[in-house]
Amino acid sequence: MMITLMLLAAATLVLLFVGWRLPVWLERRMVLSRRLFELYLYRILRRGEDVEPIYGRYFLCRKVARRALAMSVAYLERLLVNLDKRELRRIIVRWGLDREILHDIGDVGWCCGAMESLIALLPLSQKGVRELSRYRSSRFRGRRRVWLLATVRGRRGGVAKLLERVDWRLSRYELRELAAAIKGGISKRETLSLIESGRENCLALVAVLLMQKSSLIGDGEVVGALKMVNGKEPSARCRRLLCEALVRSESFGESKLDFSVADMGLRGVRLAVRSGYSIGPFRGSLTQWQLHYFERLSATFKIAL
Amino acid sequence: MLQCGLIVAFVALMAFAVKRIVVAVGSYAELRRAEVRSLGVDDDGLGERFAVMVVDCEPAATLFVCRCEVVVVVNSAADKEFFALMVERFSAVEVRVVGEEEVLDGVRLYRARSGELESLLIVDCKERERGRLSRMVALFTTADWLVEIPCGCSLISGAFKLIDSLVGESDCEYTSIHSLKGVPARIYSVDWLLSADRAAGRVLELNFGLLYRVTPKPKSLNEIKGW
Repeated sequence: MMITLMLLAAATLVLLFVGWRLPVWLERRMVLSRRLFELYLYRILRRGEDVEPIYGRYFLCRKVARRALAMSVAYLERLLVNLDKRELRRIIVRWGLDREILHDIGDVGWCCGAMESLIALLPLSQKGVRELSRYRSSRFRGRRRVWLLATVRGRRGGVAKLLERVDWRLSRYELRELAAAIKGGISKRETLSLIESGRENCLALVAVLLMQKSSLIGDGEVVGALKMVNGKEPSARCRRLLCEALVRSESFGESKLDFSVADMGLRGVRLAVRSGYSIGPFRGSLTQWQLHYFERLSATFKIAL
Repeated sequence: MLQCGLIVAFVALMAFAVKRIVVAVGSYAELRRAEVRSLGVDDDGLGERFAVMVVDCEPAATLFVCRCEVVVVVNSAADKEFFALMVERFSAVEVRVVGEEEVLDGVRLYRARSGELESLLIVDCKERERGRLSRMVALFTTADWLVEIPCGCSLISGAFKLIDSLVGESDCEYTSIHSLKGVPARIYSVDWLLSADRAAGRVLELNFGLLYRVTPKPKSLNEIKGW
């Protein structure tokens, strides 16, 4: 009994010590990760692919260093336009960062979500994309998203065809991520094929692309494209996105598209007020208090010059 | 009997320690996830839009926050010097709403003309009850979320980016966002603040990281002038 008590006391002490110190250790790990991230950004920009995950006095945090390098590569891939991705890919392949991350995701790791997000942002080789295809029918939404984003990043065009294989409704955030992954913009033909497909995800993606002005169609054609999307009888959420795209297209007044306040939601009308439009077109559809609210808002809202 | 008591005490202590470890590891994992995810979100203006409200204190803490509206609530009768400083500092002009004088009930609005912040609104009123103040400020903001920053605190950089990604992830409409770590934070949906019944809705609870950090207060008004 005495031995049991002693063992229990020892285990309690160890657990209490770990519980006391662990938040501090993890906080330090986060700080180190951020520092290394900045260091690698600087090094990659200065030296290109000739960069290695240094450990130095942080030799115990080898994994943190490798993750920070992967994060800085992902950040640069995301940030820079017209960048030669081959150099970034070489860093990934040379240090085996994609394999390591995929291995971690394969296990039920405690940082699984972070790693899934990271691998979706990395410029992967064709081989890496092929490896990810096993996530296509995963029961976890995060993994399906990884597959989608990595595939879009890894190939040119064919987004409409790819979205045909997506059988879940993309959230607003996923649509933005997808639009960002198609960084070079999307051709007019591709845009039209997305509209032609008539699927909700495709129509919503077109709305987001038009909002971001990532679709390579002329400014004068935006309203025409929106009309085409509207002609496909999109869902309420898609119509809301279309309204936002229309407000941002600066052709709101001339568009003559039949959108109501119910389509736009209060958020959409606020966006119109913020963008400097009069609330005149919505006047008929607003309730009494909404009318007072938006009149007051448009009278008092001004952007600092 | 004593031995049984000791065993129970040890087990309770172990459970406490294990709970602490689980919370720490969970928070760390959430933070890592949000940090990596924030790499992928652009501040492209398509996400959620935030308005920052500060009451009776300088908005120095929010100056670095771009793409958000800033509302400073001041009581000019009680703090004339600070009010005058704010108006002078941001070249604010009074905004009048024709025919609404009695509705606003002694509330006066000033808009900044200097372009340091995208949009700065100075609200001069006596009201200090937080709920009513939030609802009043919601009437004058075009943002989707209203964030109150306590005096002496500043927002952690990238906090809005993280919230944006978490809110956009889900299809459901949240009424507020709560973070109890560090300085407790409550962020309210403007739509919810404006709704007449303000029925309880879904709350997004942030279990990771801090939203605010405590910043040293400026010692004097002269220090504020040097922003």
